[in-house]
Amino acid sequence: MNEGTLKKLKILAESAKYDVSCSSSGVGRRNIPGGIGSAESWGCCHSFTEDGRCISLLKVLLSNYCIYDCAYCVNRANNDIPRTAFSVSELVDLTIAFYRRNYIEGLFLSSAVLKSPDHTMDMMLKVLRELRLTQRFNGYIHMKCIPGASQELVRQAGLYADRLSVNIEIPSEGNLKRLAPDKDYQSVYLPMRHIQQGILQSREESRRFRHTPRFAPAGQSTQMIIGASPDRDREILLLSSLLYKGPGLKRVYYSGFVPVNGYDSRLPAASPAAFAAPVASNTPGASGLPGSSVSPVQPIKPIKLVPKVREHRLYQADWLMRFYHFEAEEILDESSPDLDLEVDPKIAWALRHPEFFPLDVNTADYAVILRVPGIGLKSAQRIIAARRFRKLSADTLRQLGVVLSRARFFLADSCALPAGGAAHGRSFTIQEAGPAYVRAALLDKKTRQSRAVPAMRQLSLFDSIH
Amino acid sequence: MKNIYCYDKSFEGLLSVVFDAYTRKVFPDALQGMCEAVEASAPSNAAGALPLLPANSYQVSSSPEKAGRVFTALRKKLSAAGVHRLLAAWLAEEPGGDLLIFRFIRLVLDSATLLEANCGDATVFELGQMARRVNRERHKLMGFVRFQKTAQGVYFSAIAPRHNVLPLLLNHFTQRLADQPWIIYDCGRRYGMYYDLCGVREIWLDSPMQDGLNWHGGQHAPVRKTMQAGPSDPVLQDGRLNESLLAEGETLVQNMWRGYFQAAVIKERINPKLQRQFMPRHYWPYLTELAGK
Ligand code: SF4
Repeated sequence: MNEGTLKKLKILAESAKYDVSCSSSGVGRRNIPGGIGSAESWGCCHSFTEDGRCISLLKVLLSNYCIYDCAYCVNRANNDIPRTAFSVSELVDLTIAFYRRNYIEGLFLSSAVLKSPDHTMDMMLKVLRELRLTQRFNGYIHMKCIPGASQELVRQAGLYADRLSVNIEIPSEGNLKRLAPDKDYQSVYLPMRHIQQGILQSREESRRFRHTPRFAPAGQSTQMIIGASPDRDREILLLSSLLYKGPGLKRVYYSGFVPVNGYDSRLPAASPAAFAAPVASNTPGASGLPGSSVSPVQPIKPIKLVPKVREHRLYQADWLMRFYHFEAEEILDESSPDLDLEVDPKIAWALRHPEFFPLDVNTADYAVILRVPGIGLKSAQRIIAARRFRKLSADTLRQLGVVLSRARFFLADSCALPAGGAAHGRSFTIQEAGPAYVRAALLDKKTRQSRAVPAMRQLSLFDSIH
Repeated sequence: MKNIYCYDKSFEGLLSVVFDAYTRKVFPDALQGMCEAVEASAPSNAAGALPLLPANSYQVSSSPEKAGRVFTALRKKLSAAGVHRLLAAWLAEEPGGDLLIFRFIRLVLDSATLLEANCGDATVFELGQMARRVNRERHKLMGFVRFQKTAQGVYFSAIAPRHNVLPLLLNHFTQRLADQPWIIYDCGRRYGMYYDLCGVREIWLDSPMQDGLNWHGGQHAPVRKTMQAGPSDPVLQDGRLNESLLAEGETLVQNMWRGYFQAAVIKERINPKLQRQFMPRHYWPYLTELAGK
């Protein structure tokens, strides 16, 4: 390692940073005698960049020379950027040196396409083998497989890496082909299937034999770029839910598109669907115009940054699918193809289903309690544990971590009132006040101030919805 | 009248308080350190009278025997996670924390059922919160510890956590960095832990000599008593080792890390507030990539 390595590192980290996945979770492993490193099943952030993202892994490309020309990527063949590549030993030394100083949890290795997908995979495998076999490195390794890689190389990668990923990037095939002419569904989904087969096979074998090598024990993940194509949130979530139903897929990452290439005619510059809706809201984090209170028609700039809030809402929806037993169809139906940017998807669902509420957490099932806005996984579990000892009132709910300012609209009086049932603590339920009122009350302060709050509906308990 | 128990502010001491309280059937309303009680009696001293302690205060002498019996009883009534939570709460070193722990222990010993699940109880809840703060900081520190390689080949890291989390970090790092000697040093509490490839022991830093970093230490690690804020140690400049003590090539590695840290930023999305929320400024001086910012 020398000053030259430092230059390479800067270039190859620059090129890799748009891949959002940084997770180091999913596998717990103790060190081996004479080895270095272990893996924490909960993952660990070592630092946070100035944009607030976690640094857990050393995320670099092996090389940024690329023969492909994807519209959304800095490294595409047509871009005039400095190009370089690590040697195997350079990258191995760097990883170990960082690891020994506790800078990182492990390595996230990816690469642009050198010569051919298999040639590239081969080079990456050399790094993994050197780390695992020669250096006895036991920390976390995530390797991003190259679209179009052959089954044999994917199989080998699975033996050394904790997690494998193949990025879908563009949620629909038509758009993928348009933006990345050298890739197609086949080149992405085949390696994904190889990984899946590897995982299943190793599970099967470990049932029969005692010592089977583990195959990508932290599973596989993938990434979709949001806003580089006009795909709607609903299509994106349906695809994710499909992927989660298959075995071994742990995470789908959503990466708000950052226009690294300036204007490219293949990008959805003139498609209002992709950008207009987000911009119209005045939610903090949205890169809307400051101070616009109503929703004016925005002049569409050639390429606009995808609002962070859209990405955030997608992650929330993803979270609901994975942990809160929500179906993609429930989160977004045909009448609403995009996520509500002003309220989170759980609230949005509750507002569309006032008939579900109010409910009493003293008697409701766990799965039902999970649907109440303001009650998270932890507090739902605590509610179940604590209600064996006492009847829960507003005060105890607050102690259990329930956000009452949100939950109160959805809870029955029997649990939403302070102990003793003092009437002054009462608030209106969604049944009484109506979804429009509750929605306005749940908007964050800044948005709320810019709106007139709709009048509370006449109290009518049996109002039909929508 | 208030009952005040004075003890040596060690965990063993607190468990001895529990033992004595149950034996005497008198339970404390307040807990104090030994010296505080002596100071309280100082005015009467000055007046020439006998140094009388207030009538309702009681001095507890720590005894491993008494503490051991209380701890055994606790382990019978708590799950392993519950015991861990209790120890973590102790390491919080928060003002008034010891009385809370005392009340919790009493609840545990007096209740027939498994008490831990009852988060609805205020004491149980508060203790859980205190332990949570400690565990959260421990988890943070697992990432934020930064080793610098010294010329002697020892990897040195300085930390300054709010809670006394160092004892909780040892398992993790002896596991992970088993093939390199290291020191993690708590600058605020002025003690460190040294791993020499065989085991871990507590050490205190001495001023540096010609041949590099110096320290002395005991054989095993007692739990620290109180936090003492002191001026920074002579070997350290704001938690960073004096450059003359570093191994050859160390500066290059550190520069690479800084270079990487800069390169990983997505400039279109700068958000320092978010960064500080995850990584409060308090930790920055001890982070290679942010020291001096
Ligand atoms: S193949 Fe990968 S590195 Fe090459 S242009 Fe496409 S996305 Fe970028």
